Amino acid sequence: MSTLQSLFVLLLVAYMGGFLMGGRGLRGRGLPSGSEWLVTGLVVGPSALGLVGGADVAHFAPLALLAAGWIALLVGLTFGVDRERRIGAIDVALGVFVGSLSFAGVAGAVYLVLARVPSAGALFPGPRERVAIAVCIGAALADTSRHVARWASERLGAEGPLLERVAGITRSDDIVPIAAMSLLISLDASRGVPAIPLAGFGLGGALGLSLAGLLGRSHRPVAFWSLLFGFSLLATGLAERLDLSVLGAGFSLGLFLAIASPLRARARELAGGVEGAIILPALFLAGARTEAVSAPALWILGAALLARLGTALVAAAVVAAVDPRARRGGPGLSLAFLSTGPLGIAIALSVNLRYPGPAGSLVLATTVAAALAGEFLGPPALRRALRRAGEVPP
Amino acid sequence: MSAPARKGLLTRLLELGALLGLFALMLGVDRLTGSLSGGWQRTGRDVAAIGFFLLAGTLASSLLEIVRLPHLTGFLLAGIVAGPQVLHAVDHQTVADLSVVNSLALSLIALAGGAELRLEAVRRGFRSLVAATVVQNGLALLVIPATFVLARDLVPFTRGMEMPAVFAVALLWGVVAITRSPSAVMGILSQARPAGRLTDFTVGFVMTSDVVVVVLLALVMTAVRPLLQPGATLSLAAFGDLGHELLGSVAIGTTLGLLLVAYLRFVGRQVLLVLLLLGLVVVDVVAYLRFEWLLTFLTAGFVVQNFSRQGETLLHAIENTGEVVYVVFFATAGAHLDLPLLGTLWPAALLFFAVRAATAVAGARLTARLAGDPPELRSWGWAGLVSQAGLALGIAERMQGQFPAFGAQFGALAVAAVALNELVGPVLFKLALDSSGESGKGGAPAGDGD
Repeated sequence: MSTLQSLFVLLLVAYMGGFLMGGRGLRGRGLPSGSEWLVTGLVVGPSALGLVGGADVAHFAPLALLAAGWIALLVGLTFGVDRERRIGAIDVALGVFVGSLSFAGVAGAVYLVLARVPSAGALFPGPRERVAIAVCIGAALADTSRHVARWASERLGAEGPLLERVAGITRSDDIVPIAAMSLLISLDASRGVPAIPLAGFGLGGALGLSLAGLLGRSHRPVAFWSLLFGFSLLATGLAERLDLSVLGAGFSLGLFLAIASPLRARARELAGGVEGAIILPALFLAGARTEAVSAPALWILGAALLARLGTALVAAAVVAAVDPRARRGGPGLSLAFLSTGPLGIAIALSVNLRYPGPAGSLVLATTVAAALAGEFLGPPALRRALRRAGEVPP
Repeated sequence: MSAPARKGLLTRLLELGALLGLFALMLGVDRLTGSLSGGWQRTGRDVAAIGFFLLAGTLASSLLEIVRLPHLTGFLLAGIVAGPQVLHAVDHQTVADLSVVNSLALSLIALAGGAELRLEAVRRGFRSLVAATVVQNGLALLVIPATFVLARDLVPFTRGMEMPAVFAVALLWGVVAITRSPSAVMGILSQARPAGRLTDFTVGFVMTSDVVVVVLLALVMTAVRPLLQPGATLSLAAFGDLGHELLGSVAIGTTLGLLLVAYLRFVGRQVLLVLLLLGLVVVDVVAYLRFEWLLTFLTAGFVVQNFSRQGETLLHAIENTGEVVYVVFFATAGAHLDLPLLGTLWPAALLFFAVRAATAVAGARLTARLAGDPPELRSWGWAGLVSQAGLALGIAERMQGQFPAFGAQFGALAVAAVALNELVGPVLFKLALDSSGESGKGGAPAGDGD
């Protein structure tokens, strides 16, 4: 059986595993961050059962690239809106603040450990390397999963101002990690391509406007789908070839399409419709590529997780200070901001592919650990907060 | 009539500008990154090429609506122009990398083909199908080998062969000539959304013709081997294997169909993922077990359509996925076309193309008389049978392994002839559906607004 076949058979296993681990039988919605896919990948990957070899997994770089581009497209398309409802300026500002806080807190903690703990610092002695690792881990952990609010709405039937606030914030904080990674990649000239800051945004923006122009006002589903998918792949592939940020290109493609096209709602519906088919295999792949980290690297991983927890507590306090209604959720709200989602995993996976070796492995392992911790702590905390706020039906 | 040209001049100009811009963008990026290498460049090339083929194919097909050419021709032309033979916007290695799409596309095509075979329609046209299968294949196996023998001077690799060997090669060529193209038929159906006797007949004939070809290939290869390979004897063991292969394929297809029914009925989510799994994994598993995977998928689709209520759900899911897959599949096929080879072998290829098409026309007339077919079948029953694609090339490739003495040149001639059939066949079938008034009767055509 070829690598591709093995992977897809294992994906089927993961898919079925998702039903079981999600505990919802054939409804198949799984966990909000898709952690069952991560865990299945971990179990069958080289670090555990070894059913998929490290070299096999390396063949699937296009899948990771595709997932990163598609997630960024979705983020761009849905930036500032939640299910066709415009997100208020306060939510956007809070989202950007929460994202920036998480990014700065985690990146700062990682850099501090690298600078102050000799055994950890010895792993990555170069100052540029340390900055890059800090930025990558900070970016990967800066995102709070958008799916956690959707999960609460769909699974718990929750509705109300607190949930809307959480949804608004989690939809707006994505821009921070995307911007951070785009800047880092556009300044990295290690592949022999001259650095052009934020050129990925320019490429995606130009393609997004072209797509909006081609779509016009007509509503032809077949051409629509082919054009949307085609432009996303083109932006992703060209950004990679030109060594620009795939995330930046995908995000601005989606953002400019949403701004310029009257068919933005249809585009969101189409892009969201295949989200699972593209993202879930990427989560599986991320799990399969995750390796155990060395003892000194555990300092970095631990510091990142603690910083993430700390920034979540501060973020919840700030949100509560700004919005009195959020106080009704109680202190548990802070843990709700711990859920990291597919965007973080996509960032970590693309870093893992771009910087193979200890740096890439550390970023991926830290992000997977954060995603699993967030999955266990985030959704129950949100449920408690929503119950306390009276937004979950009895 | 399908896909009426409702777009204004400005839209057309915008599409043309976008198409030219896409080519310029790909060529420009190629020039900028030409000196770079590494796995990341290869990955970027592959992903960008799929996107490019999807966009260029979609835009070219939309522009060709003006002259009423089928979308499929647009996909092929986009691939030819962008491919390594013409502009080199997509290189050889990328085209080879994208061949993974082929098994996905063909499995979806076979699955959709099986699901389009409605038992009621098959029963209604059974007499025509049986008559056409006998007449079309019998006539082709007489006329085309005879033409091959008579025109052997145009075929370089037969020079120096003894007459019995030429006759044997001609018979093998006859088998290649009776292959049809389910992919082209399904590609046109997905655009024109036709319904009627011509549609039912063509789907039924083309889908079942694969089985006929597989059986005839085994028969002919067994019969001609002693004429081509001195010392080889007539062995009937191949027929035992063939029976096992066909029955096994139907059995696995039935099981797969029932599993699909259960999935669609009780889960119904992430159907796209299941289709990807079928196309990228199950195909190879079935091939590894030495079963005929096209027949397996055909049977699976047939079971879902005729023994459950999930047929329309499956067709709808395949349509959604297939639209994208078809564009990439045919554009990649266009990029694969070996134009320099066609330039060398064009006299022989053109002759065999013309004789094959004429035989199909004559066969359709004769069938119509024998089976009492309605006028649309009498006039156009042949049009869907002209296209050729993957199966013909697959057989030609097999010849290279089985008969190394002439297999490579035989394969080259097949590629040249298939190139003509692949380009002209879809145009003829689309024309037939439009002329017989069946286009658009099965739902809104793909190119139409909704």
